[in-house]
Amino acid sequence: MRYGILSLPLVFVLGLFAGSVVQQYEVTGLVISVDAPHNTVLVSHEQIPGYMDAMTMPYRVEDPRILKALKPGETIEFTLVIGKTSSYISRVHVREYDSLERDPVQNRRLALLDEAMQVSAGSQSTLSPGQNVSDFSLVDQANRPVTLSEFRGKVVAITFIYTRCPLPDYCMRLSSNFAQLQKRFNDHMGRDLILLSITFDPDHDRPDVLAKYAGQWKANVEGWHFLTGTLSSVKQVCGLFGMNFWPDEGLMTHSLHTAIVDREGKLVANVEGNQFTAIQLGDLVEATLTHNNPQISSR
Amino acid sequence: MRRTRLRRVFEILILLWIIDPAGGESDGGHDVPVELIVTGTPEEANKILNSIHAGEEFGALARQYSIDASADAGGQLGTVDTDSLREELKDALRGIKPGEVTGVIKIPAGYAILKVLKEPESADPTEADRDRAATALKNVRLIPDDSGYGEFFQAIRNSLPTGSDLRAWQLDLKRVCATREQAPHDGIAAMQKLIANEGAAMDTFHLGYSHYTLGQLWSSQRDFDDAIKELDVVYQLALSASNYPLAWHMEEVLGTSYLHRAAFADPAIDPVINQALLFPSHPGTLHTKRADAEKAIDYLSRGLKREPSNTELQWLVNLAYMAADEYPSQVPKEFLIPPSTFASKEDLGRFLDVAPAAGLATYGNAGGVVIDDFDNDGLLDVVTSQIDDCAPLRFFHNNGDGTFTDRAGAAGLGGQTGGLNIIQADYNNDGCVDLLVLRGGWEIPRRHSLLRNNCDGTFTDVTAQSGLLDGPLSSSQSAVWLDIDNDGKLDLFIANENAPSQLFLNKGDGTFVDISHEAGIDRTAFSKAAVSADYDNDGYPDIYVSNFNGDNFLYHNNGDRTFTEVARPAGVNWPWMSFGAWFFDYDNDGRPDLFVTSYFFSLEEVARSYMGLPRKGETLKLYRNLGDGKFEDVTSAVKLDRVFMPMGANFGDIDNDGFLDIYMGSGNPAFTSTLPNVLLHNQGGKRFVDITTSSGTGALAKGHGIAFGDLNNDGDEDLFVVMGGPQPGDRSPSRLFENPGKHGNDWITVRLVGVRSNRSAIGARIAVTVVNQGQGRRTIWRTVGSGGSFGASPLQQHVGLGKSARIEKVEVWWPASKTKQTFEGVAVNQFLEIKEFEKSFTGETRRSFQLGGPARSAQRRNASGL
Repeated sequence: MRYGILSLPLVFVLGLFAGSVVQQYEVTGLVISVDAPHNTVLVSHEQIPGYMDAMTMPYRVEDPRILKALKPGETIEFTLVIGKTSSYISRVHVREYDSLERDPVQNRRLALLDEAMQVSAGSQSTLSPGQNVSDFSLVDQANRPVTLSEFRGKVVAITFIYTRCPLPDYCMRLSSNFAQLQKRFNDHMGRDLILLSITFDPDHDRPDVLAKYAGQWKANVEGWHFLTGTLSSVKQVCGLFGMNFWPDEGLMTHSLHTAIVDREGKLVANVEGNQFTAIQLGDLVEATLTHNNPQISSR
Repeated sequence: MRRTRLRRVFEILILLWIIDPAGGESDGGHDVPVELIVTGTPEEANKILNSIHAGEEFGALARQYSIDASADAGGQLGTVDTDSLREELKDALRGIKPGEVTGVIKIPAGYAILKVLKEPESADPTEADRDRAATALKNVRLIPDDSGYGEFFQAIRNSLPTGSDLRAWQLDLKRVCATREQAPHDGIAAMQKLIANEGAAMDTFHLGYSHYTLGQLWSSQRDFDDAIKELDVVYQLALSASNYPLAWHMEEVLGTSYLHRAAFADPAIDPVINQALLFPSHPGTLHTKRADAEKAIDYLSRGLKREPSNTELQWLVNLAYMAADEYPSQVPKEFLIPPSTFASKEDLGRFLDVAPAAGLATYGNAGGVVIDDFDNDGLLDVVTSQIDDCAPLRFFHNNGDGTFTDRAGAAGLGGQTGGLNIIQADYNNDGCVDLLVLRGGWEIPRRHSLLRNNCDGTFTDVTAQSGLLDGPLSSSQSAVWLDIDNDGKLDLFIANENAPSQLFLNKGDGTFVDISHEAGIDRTAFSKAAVSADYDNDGYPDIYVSNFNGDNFLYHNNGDRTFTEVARPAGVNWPWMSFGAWFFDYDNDGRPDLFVTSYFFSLEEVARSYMGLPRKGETLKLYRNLGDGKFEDVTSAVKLDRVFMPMGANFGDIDNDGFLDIYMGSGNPAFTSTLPNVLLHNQGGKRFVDITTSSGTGALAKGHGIAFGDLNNDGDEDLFVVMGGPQPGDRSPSRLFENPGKHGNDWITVRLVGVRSNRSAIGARIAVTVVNQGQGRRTIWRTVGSGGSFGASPLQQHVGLGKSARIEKVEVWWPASKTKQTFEGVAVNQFLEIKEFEKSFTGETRRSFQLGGPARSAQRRNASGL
């Protein structure tokens, strides 16, 4: 079974496998946070067959230099080495989102073409983790203005959808992730966790359309906002997170992004794609909620 | 990444494992919505079963533990026909009520638990429908974009003027053409520059995708040598980086590129090749590009060996063997889709493509067609358009000797370029049929053209003065002429893409006024079809709009220039991804029924449909009019519940039996979507039988505008098909399939002339009551119009009468005057003109001739090499 984040003392991690034989496992997981002073990285990983269930664990890295290259929200592949007296991870490799499904492939090609023809999102550059997310204002499904800065002091998760999206692996998956966050952090919704689903089809997704869509996901009125605006305002917000979209034969070709913003308004992570689980995303949210807020206990 | 690939393999395997490979026919099955969990061990399965019984959520457990790809969707499989399941699963499901769970079932893939879901109880059926469509999509393989159309059009979009200049551009067809020609080259130059300047600093992933983008742009421009060179660079880069999933993906892209070059890229149209591209191809027909075909076989087979149950690849491999002249003999047994799969169960004679001899084999892109008599000489002419903004409208005058001459220049149509669809009507009641060119479909708005027929062999572009360009410009590929208020003047309804529909009221002075908003008919959707009929027989024509993404609309005409949308209560809001549509009375019960296609773009699903494997994709719909304002979905009952990928489509009576048959052009812009057009014979209004193979009409390129018409006045309807994709790299020759006329059935052709009603008689109804030898009395119904939404058949109505027919009476109902005429003693096998209010009809003398003229015999000789 799966558990929440185990705030294990480092010494426990080091000593956990003392006395056992040396073993190695290939593991894939999502980086939750990086703790450079302690040479560890917190990873939410899937089941390690024959060894451990899916779990969120801090791991000591063999070569601390790799930590500089790791960012929360990245998917990494690594080798877990279980030693007699200590364990660590090595051969850490960041896995780029390179799905070969129809949309991601098309999206990558069109983004390169736009870049080459110099019409990509303009001068605006994509934010990196740690940077302040510049403020933006859109309207929600109740036609109320919503400004990012009004959520200062709360953790904000942002994703991008369009309601006519027929592909279950894309927008529906991202919305489903949020629905699962809403369930997992039920007590936090609106209080110190805000979910923002931003449409990139604002001409069609007017507030009434979004209200209906929110109803389908049984969205918590206080905590989960579905936002729309003018095409240019939506484009600007998308640009902050490297979110691309193009009309395509009646549908949209688009990239997939889910971002976490911390209580101070800084970008924690910008997760691309759909190849992470809602649980991993939840672990990322939980780590952000817990950060500097020890009073918030895990599930 | 690699895992995704593995998952897909898994998914296919598991689906095969849960589905009964024998798949025998029986009537015991029923469709139930189910969820699935599969585990590797019985212990794990039992543990999960206990958790379910302890109240844990099935979907959550599926997400967490199931090894089936449906895990991500909480185990949802969608609606499954229990009859198609393996015996052990069928057994396990017996007696399981909605909401209940089976025990643990051993299947070859592992240990399965199934849950039967309660039928969705949502108050709003949209949600349930949407979920069903989405769930279906979850488990199907969508066609990749491998033809470069995405890049091609993005380059154009990147070159558009901005601000107020955009509208000026949209109105100026010369500028639109210039952009379409130049932009892809700008895109190519930009990609070359990007690679040259920054390639060295890029990682292999981005460098690979840069070459991929460039290769796609070359494909779109029909430069396959450069395209394949670039795609091969991507392939080599992927291999060198050990990115095998990308390498495998490129193998398929290279395979389809070689296949496309082998089969379609040759601009020198050779009638022999033309015949060979009729699916399924026969040995000894196609050899000019054998080297390419061999390459295609090589690349595509590699993937198929890794993924033997990938029906998309299996389909393509079989096609590649056809192109190499080696089907079926050389196809490895395990990959062969045997010719019997495509065998027709009925033979009405083989149609011959006489377009080259007739001078109608335009080599071009997707487009529209109108067949009608534009100069009132008793001969049907052919007008074609192309989506290519630089391609001129063709106005093929019927010379009456089997040949056609393009008179576009002399007719003043020289400046008319582009247009995905065209329709016709005599909107100004002057006795000559006018044209409307619709532009922007699937792409971006540019102006339409209303072309007034001056009755002297020329046309005048009256779009601006008519008022049709007032207001914002929208993309459209479908519109319908109808007289909404029975004032004898044809009004125009235009269905737009992502913009409100428009209803233009004809003021009778050559101008129109947009009344869409007041009429309550200005909904916004991505609309693909607009068709009209008085479905409830209240005397006012109604409108049906099909939408690519969401509910369709049925606008009931309230009789006061307003409409009420009633698709849901009438039961005709589906399919969810609709394209072509029309009203026709398929069962001759006097009520217009409704046919709507689904543009569910998955070659895998189409292939599975052909191969008789269980399908998950959405099928087209046939709705039978019940006469009480409601329709019944009879798709399965008439055997139309197959997945096709129809684009252009239309109907006509190919064997003069009085029942209307269907022809559909197939495909989408991808090279992967290489599949035949389809001819379906209506057997007595009871079922439709696929006669594609026996009729020889399974043209393989992309099928667009389609029209039925008796082009040589010999008493049977021929079939004209505009072929080709949307960009220069996907051009094809148009087809004219000559009806072999082997049925020996009788017919009449009726041309109606309105006096108080609109002169084209659109909306007038014809009932022909006949007695057939040995069959007794029956009535055959037609409504005047140009047929389906993509391709326009003549307004004259060709009516098949069946064997040894004696006409008891011909009745005509006129919409504006509400009058009815009845004619008795009408002889069969003739052309009639019936004028509103007249007591008698006029017989027209029309000479029949052979299509193709002098070139015909030469073409026959070449083709007989088959």
